[in-house]
Amino acid sequence: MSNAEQESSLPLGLDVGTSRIVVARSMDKAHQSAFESQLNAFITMPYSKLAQSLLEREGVFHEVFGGELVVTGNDAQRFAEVFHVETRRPMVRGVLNPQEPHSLPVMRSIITRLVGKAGAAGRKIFFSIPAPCLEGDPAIAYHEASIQQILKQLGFEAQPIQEGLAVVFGEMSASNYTGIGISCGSGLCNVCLAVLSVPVINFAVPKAGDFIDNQAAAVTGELATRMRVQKESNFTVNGLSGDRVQNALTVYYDDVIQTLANSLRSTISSTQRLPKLDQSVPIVLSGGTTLPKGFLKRFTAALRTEDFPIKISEVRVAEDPLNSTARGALMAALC
Amino acid sequence: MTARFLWKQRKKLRNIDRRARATADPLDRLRFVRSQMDSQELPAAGRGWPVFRIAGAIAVAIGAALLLWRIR
Repeated sequence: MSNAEQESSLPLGLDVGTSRIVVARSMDKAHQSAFESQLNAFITMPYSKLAQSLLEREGVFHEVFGGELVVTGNDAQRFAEVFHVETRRPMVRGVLNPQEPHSLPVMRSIITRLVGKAGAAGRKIFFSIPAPCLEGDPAIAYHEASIQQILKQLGFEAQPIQEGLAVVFGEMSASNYTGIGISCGSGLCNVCLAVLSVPVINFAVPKAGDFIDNQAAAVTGELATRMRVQKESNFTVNGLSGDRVQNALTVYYDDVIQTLANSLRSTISSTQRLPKLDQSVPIVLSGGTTLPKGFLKRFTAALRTEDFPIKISEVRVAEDPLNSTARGALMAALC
Repeated sequence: MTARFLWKQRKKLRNIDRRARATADPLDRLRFVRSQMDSQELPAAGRGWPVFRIAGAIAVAIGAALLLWRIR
């Protein structure tokens, strides 16, 4: 079997996030992974031959859906900035956006661009799915089935893995896959407590990056997209300052951190059949929302305001927070 | 679920944990842990000896003995 053939039959890990879709590929036997990502967003414009030929000439990733030109992935962000419009999102709160008629074709388009067709029949792929929120979330079943269908049509044998568990697989080999993995993305903060790789508690908190962007945009009169760009470029969670945008982001970051810490504490405390843990466990944070400086410090402080039901050995941010979930999904696929 | 069963389960888990630490490669370690955990049930906390039930039974026995002794 040639190198290319071998590569096209290796399993893949796919992080289907509200904000970004990331694919992880295993490059060799030494388990070096390569990552590729696309923004999970799009913008539309009226169809015209001229516009289409311009997009083609510029190499912009686009498709035609029902009389509209749809620019998807990373290119959508560029166009949104040029035209000063909000990008549209095929997913919201971790699942397919029910308000968006283009959601499924756009997801299909981005996923196909990232993973391509399975080179060999039955090639394995593990894709991330959100955990249910504490009040329940019936949309997850539809979301999971839809992504599975897209991957099946591309020739893959697709298996779902909960996002929090993927973080545990990707980051917690040192503790034998025992610990709390948290993925703070755009739509949700997904949490999983696992013991020796077995998920014990899985839940999601519906406040995350999008909540911060939308609330901060509402109180400052800016676009949510601009809030996101500012948050990702130079924002630090370190208290209030003279800048109103920074202040708004800080206030809503604190809200997310407090909600996450309180939900974690109360869910673990109220779990009836919690296994007896002999040793203290680590907490690993991942996802784009954990990127600003000061996030870890604030989260650790929020956890320590009250007693925590289990002993914690360390709280840390993953080495590569944007790719942790995809790496964990790849690890699961390689097992 | 008896206390002895739970104790055995915990011992098995500790054993899996110790043996997994001997595997350096993260992927091999995950494979090992998952294969071992496939057949395991996690021991739930708070399922030790039924202390209150035993204490209750002893109290009832003492009470009955005292009652019989008083009647005689």
